[in-house]
Amino acid sequence: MNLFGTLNTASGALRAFQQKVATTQANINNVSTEGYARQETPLQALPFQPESGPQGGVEAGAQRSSRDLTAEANVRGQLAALSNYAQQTQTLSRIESLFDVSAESGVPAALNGFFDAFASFALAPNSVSARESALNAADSAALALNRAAASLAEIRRTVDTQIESTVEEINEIGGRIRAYNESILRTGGGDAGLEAQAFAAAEDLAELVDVQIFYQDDRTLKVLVGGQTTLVSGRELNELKVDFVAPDPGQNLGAPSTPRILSADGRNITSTISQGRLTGLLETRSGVLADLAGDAVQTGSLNELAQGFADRVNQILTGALIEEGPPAVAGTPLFTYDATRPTAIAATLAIDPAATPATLAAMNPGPPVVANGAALDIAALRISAAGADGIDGLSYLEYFGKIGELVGQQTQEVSASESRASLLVTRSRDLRHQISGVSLDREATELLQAQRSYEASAKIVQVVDELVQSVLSIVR
Amino acid sequence: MAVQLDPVAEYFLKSIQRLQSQLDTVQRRVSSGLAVEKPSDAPRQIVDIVRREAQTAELTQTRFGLGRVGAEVDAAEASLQQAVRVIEQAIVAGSQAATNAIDSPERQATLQAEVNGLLDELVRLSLTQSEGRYVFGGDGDQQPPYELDSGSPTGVNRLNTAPSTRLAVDYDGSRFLTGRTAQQIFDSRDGSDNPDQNNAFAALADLRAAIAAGDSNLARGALERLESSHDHLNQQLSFYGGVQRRIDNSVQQARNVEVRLTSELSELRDTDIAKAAVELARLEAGLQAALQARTAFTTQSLFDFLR
Repeated sequence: MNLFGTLNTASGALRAFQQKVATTQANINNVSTEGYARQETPLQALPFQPESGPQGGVEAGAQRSSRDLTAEANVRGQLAALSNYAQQTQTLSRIESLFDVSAESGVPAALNGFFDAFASFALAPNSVSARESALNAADSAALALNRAAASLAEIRRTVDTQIESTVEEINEIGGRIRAYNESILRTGGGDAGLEAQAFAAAEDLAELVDVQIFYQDDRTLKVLVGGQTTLVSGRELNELKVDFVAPDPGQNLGAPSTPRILSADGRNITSTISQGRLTGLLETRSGVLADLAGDAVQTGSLNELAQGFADRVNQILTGALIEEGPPAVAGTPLFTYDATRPTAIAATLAIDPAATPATLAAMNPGPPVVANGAALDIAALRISAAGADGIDGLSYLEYFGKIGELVGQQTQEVSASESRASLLVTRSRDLRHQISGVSLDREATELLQAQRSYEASAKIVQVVDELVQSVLSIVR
Repeated sequence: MAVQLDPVAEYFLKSIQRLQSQLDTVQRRVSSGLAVEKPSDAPRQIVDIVRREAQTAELTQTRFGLGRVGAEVDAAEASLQQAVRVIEQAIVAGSQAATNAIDSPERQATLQAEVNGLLDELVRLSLTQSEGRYVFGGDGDQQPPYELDSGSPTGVNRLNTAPSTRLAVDYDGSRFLTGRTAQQIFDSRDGSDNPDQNNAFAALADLRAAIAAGDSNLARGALERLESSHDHLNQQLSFYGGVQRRIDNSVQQARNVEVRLTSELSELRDTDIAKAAVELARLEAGLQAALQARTAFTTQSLFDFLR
């Protein structure tokens, strides 16, 4: 061991401490960077046997990332759940606005207007103006149901568009992760900045769909969607697709098409996707929207309401008389709809073209005959659920309220789930931060330590230099 | 996008957002007065709310309908009271004719003119209208029921034979008859459609004929018929009196039920203002405290102390 060996050792130490300072600087610079995980530079002691050879010293080991894949997966999982509920809340809020609790607008107001008009018609069955008002009120009721159906159809179209754009976004982010993989394959990896970008992209992806991400042997990332379908692997991007399938021949004619998510090789992977915004969209599409407006296999409660209401009114009117006669003149139907398309009943409900004020039948033939019996029976549908009146033991207005109750209940549950999920996201991020986040206090401590060590090593260089000078002065 | 806030900041923001959202909800409820504005506010109450709103609307409509029917019944009652007086005047004239009190052609002519006038008045009363409808027209309320016809045995011509089957709705949904036809009231007939002893038109026509003939026996027969028709008219008056009482009772009951329903609806749907005001104060204080606590939170790190 000689002075020059010591000098060598000291300069090696300086390099090691410099590396540590640089890592600390990188951590501090990226304290707020999305996806960044704290980097560490371990120091490794070099062999030291001064009697026989090794000079000792310290060198900087390979840079290590503190990223914890489990913590990352936890954050992604919670984000996916949050996005799912947030999307459902958003769509359900739009649907909920169709149900006016105050009954001052929409379907309830129109139905009440209809029943009022028929009550007035019952008071004056021979009045032309009362008949015209009844017909106009029937038209308004049909129009209100048409509008409700149209609003649901518009929401469904929006959801479909969002499904398509979400799949495009998934593919776009998959492209970003593939670009990262290509960089890794070119450079061999170890770039904390690139890794931060990739994991930030992964978190963006998790908001859209549930994904599983893990390292492959070559340090590239593999991305699975729904736990089964490969989106990205190495340089490969397997883009997802959306298609909309029309109902089968035996199903509801004219029903809305059903969205499917397809893998790149054409497999239907819809059922494997369980979280993320995409799931929120698919669930409202196949859930509440189908329950209300119908789909390939169900009529939809709004259509059931329209059909039940129209059929019952028509039944009363066609069983009634316009004139007692003889000859008796029977009443004619008031409403018409497209019965061949069960999911379009509310949308196609209209006044029968043959219905006029003169063809409105008010008389119940009995016996006994009641001149305004049929008009009273129709007016009573406002609150009656007896016999053939109403649906499922509820009057038509109550049934509409029941539909609203189901929508409201779902909205409330999903909103509560969203709040809980939001807290879970924060907690999971907190946990991740504790494991792999940058703490300024910790970095300051490391910096202080590196600074002291650097100064100490520099002092040794200075001392060795003085010793060498002393030796040289002896020689001169 | 992934947000890289420190956990404390993220917790703080989420808490503030939650508080602010609750505050917005309470403020909205206080300003609108409604605790339930949309189904998700109280899903399990929606059907009850809709039911009560429908019941309230039904009662409002029922009261309106009863009001209109009540106006018709009022008009009918007034006309019947006048009809009773007409028959009473006819009975006085009939008494004179029956007791040979007609002692001169002038007296006979005067009495005859009086009876013609009474018949005319009775026909006019049978044509009583309310809001453009003949109240004694039965189901054919757009057609006048009778007109004068001196050639007819009853002195009138029947124009409208529609029955009265129209029903009104009570506050509890039950239905009841509210009117009778002019034929039932003034032109009472037997099973063979012949004027019976209660027929007021026939009674006056009989009296007119008796006076014209100067026949006191005929006049006594007409007098009996007039007295029968007088009793019959009073019975019709009782019927309408009963209908009026039922209408008045129903309107009052409807109002009582509406008050109850309004109260129930308010409990289900409206904001408890006092409770909401306390909640508002609590949330505002909480928000202020959270904001102040956050500003007092130290943002220093070890770096601030390094030389």
